[in-house]
Parts: sequence; structure tokens; C-alpha cells
Amino acid sequence: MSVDHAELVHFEGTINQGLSIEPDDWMPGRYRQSLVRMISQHAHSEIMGMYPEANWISQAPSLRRKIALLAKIQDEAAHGLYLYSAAETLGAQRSKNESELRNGRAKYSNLMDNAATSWADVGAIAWLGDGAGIVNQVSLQDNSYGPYARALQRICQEESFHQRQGYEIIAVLAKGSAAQKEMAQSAIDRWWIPSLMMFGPPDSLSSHSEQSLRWRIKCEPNEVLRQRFVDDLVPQIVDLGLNLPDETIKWNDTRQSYDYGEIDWQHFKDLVSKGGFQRAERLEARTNAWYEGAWVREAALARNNQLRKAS
Amino acid sequence: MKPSESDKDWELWEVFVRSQKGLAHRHVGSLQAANHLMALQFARDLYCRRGEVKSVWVVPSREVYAAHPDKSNISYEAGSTNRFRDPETYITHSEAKASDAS
Amino acid sequence: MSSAECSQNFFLVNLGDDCLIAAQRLSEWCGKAPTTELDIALINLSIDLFGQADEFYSLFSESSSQFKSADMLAFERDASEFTNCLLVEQPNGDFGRTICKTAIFTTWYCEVLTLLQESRHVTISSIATKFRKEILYHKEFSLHWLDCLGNGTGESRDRIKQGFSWCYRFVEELRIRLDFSDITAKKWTECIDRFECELAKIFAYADFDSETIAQNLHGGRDGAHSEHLTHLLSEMQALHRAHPNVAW
Repeated sequence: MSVDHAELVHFEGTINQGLSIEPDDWMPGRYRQSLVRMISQHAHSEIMGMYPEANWISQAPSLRRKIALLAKIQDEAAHGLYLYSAAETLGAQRSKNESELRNGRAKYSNLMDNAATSWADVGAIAWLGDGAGIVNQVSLQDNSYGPYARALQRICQEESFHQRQGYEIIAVLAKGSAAQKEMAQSAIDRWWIPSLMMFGPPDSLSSHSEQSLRWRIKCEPNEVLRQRFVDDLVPQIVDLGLNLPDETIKWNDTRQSYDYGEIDWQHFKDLVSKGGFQRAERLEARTNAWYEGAWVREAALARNNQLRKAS
Repeated sequence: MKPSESDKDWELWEVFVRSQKGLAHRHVGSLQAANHLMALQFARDLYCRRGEVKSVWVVPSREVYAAHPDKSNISYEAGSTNRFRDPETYITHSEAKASDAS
Repeated sequence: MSSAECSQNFFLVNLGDDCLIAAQRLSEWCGKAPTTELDIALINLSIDLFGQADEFYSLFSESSSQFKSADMLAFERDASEFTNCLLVEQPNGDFGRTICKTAIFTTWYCEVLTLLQESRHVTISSIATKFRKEILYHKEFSLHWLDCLGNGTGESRDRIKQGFSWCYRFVEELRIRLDFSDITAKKWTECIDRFECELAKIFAYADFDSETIAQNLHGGRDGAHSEHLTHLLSEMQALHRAHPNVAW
């Protein structure tokens, strides 16, 4: 038995016992790569997730909504940092990760590239988008990589208010004036499919899925998670008197789940490779922040060097 | 820990938080800052946004040194084969009395 | 606004307006700060100030016949009805100017809150104590950054000097006494003296010489604002005003 094989047996044994893999443990190269890719993408999505909503802080229609929105966006920035920190334990430097994001070389959830054109979008992003994110993240808490699992536990705890405040925004609009109700409906129409897409294509279309499940990089198949989200959300949307932008949605008594329409995965692939509607604006915002802040970062370092010399 | 990509980056810091009296500091994550004062400010904003916090420590990541018993030839299990640290291996008062009686 | 509204509680609107407009400006930084840690820090300051505005307004609205809620005060008044100091409505400029603005405002505000802590009105003194605790952190944060930037590189020092030059024109206005029976002329003078003393220390971080600034602008407390406030409000209030009398 080769050394590597023995290590692999030990590694898979650890995972099969439900124990976690920690940064200094031996791990297959593919495990490390998959996790770096996954954690970095997750971190980038949190960071880019600030932008569609940040555009509405200035116009949030009440003080309570303004404060809640700021707190939510702040969490997203913080969650991005928790995740960069988890990726760092695998040798993926935050500075490198951030520069790849700015340069457009890094992938992030293309939900963030959509245009948030009305106040109701702020509600829909939080209720549907974060809702999908939470279903995913709750499942991933059982992930085999310790630092990622621990970051996710913290993130899940903190994000529980995100979806609730999103629901509240939409619920109030749905019960409000005709114009408000229309605003809510239009937001559901535009954010429903992108939210379903957040779970990724069916696992049958993905080559890495089987191994990812075996190594507990992922804990449940995409389809299972998506179905959970659909079953959770459909009755809530209907209860608010809003329509779903998918006429094929129907309760299936045999499956005890909702059937829903086919998702255009070719379109999804295009979005992943070419970026969504406002991708250029999102990247520009990120890049400008970095370059316009260069003198600040530099000054802080210079000041620190002076203080160090003086002491 | 590894050096950062360029020397223009702020240093990486590990953050430890004690959430309650009576508990130990727990590692919560990392952040980038130019010095320890800034690191403490950021730690407040980043890792203490919810709930009560009694104390915060920040440590430069490069100052964290680690040992890996799994990869070391040196044994970290000095006590596990020698059971002299195990109270069970010593006789108790009641056992002594019982053996006297028999 | 009726004259009855201009009762002795109106200083609550003055301070509420200061907090609201300062918070709105700080929130503009979201996603634009030099590092993500700073995004998070600036959002914290903004959240604190929106919360304080909400409490000042709510307190005022309890005894107001015209403004029944904090949101009415924030979203349903025109620029000429706002009484914030001119300093807080100034555009953010670069990070340096934002730090200068925040340092000057929080130093003044901290002294005002110290004064209000002594109020005979229990509600006022207790919120002042609570707010002061938050604002002390704002002050520490901005002074830390003044030190970094004022003493950092040649460029950062220049930018801080420019930031102070922009902001200093609005310092004189901060000397106007807030109209509240618990704030006697004597106490107010002492409060402003302490502020001036702190201000000198702040300017020292970048060797800023305030003598070089000739202009002294005021009018904010009487509703005579710069064009910046009109733009800020037209954005902030657009959605709320487009749908009158609805819940959000």
C-alpha cells in the first residue's frame, strides 16, 4: 500500500466517521482545490451581494427599513470575510482572492448581477435569494472541512433575520396599495428563477458531484435542496396573494412536493460564463473602491512603520 | 502562516473572543489591519456585532506557531501508555477497607 | 411649522436632523470603503446615527400635533424645514474628508451629549448617556484614522488638510446654542470651550492651521442650507413621498 493510498484511506475513514478535516490534516489535492473554489466563490458572492441592495440604502422608505437593510448588508460584508478567512486556512490568500474578484476572473453567484430596480427587489433578494442561500448553507453546515463548517454555522445563525426582514418587506407591500402590490409581484416575477438557479444545475449534469458528496464537500444533491426551497416558498407566496411566474407549479400528491417547470440551464451556463446584466457595474464598484482606497491603505502602513521604529 | 501577496497588504490577524465570564477566549476568524489598534477596532465591528463580549484578543497570524503531533516523530502521548496519571489505577479508601475485611 | 411646534423640545429635531443627515452620508460609503473591514466599520457608525435620529424624532413626535412619527419628520419635510448643521450635509468627498467631518461632528456631539446627561428630564439624560457611549466609539474611530492619515504619507496629510479646509467653514455654526431650558448660556459656553479645546488637538494631527480659512458659513439651524441637502433629500425621500399614506 503506497503512502498516499494509506493517507487516503485514513482521510476517507475520518469523513465516514462524521469527523471533520482540519487545516493541517492530509487531504487529497482535489479535495483542497474543490474547497478553495467553493469557499472562495461563496465569499465573493457575499461581497458582491452587497451591491444590488446597497443601491437602495439611500432610498429605503422608513428609518426601520434603512437600519435593517444596513445591518443586513453589513452582515454580508462580514460573512465574506469569515469565508475568506476559512479559505486562507487552505492556503488561498485573501489578497489574491480579492484581486481575482476585481479582475473578473473569479466566479460568484450570478444572482448578484441582476438589476435591483425597485424597493420590492430589496425584499425579494432577501426573501428568495437569501432564502435559497440559507437552505444551501444549512445543508453545508455538515461539510467535512472544519473551518468552512464553523464559518457556516456562524453565518446561518446571523442570517436568520435576513430572510425574515425580506419576507416582511414583501408581505407589507402585498397588503398595501395597488401600486405596492404590483411592485411586489414584479419583484417575485424577476427574482424567482434566479433564486432557483442559485442551487446550481441538477447533479446529473455535473461531473464532480458524486465525489463531492462522498467527501462531504457537499452534503445533499442540488435537486433535493432546490425542491426543499420550492416546497417552503410556494405556499408562502400564494398566501400573500401573489402569483408565481411559473404556471406549471402544482402540488404532487405522490411525491408530497411541488412540481415546477424546467429551468433553462443553457441560459444559466451563459450567465456563468458571460456574467449577468449588471456585471460590469458590480465589478466597477468593487474595483473603484479598491483603487480609490489605495492611498488610505498605504498611509496606514506608513504610519504603522513610523510607530514601530519609534518604539 | 504564509506571507501576503505583496508588502502593500495589511497584515493578517487572528481574532479571539471571550463571550462570557468563565469561558476561555475562542478563535473566531481573521481580519486585515495595519496594526494592533486597528485590528482591535475592526474586531469589534466584525466579530462583536451581536451579543455580549467580555474580551477580545488579536494576534498577528505570522506569530502563530503550530505543532502537528500526527506528523511528528516525537510522541505527544506520554501519558496514554503509562497509566500512572489515571486515578483508577490507585486503590481507594473503600477498596482498602473491603480488602481488609476479606 | 406652527409656533407651538417650536417649543422647548425643538432641540430634539435639531439633533435628530444632525444624526439623520450624518447617517445618510455615512451610509453612502457602503461598498466603497478602502477595505471591507472599513465598509463594516462605517456601516456601524451609520446604523448608530440612524438609530439616534429615530429616537430623537420619536421623542419629539410624542408631543407634536403635526408630526406623528419619526418617519414623518425624516421623510415628509422639505430642505428648508431641516435644521441640521451645515457640516453634516457636506458631500463625503474622499475617505479623508469623511474622517475630518466625522471627527469634528462627533467631537462636538460628544460634548453636547455630556451636557444633556445632566438634564433634569430623566428621558433626556438617559438617552444622552446611552448615545454618548456609542458616540465615544465614533470619536475614537475617527481620531485613530486622523492619526493614521494625518501622519501617514505626504499625500494622506495633504488630503486631511484639504478635508479640514472644506469642513472648517462650518465649525462656527456649531457654536450656536441649542434651545433647551436645561442648557443655560453658561453651561453652553463651557461646553463649546471644551469642544474648541478638543478641536485644537484634532487639527494638530495634520498641523492644520484654521487661521487660513476666512469663510464662516451658517444658516443650517434656520433651514438655510447648501444645495447638497436638497439633492440628498430628493433621493432619500423619493420613494416614501411617491406613495403617500402607505405602510412600508
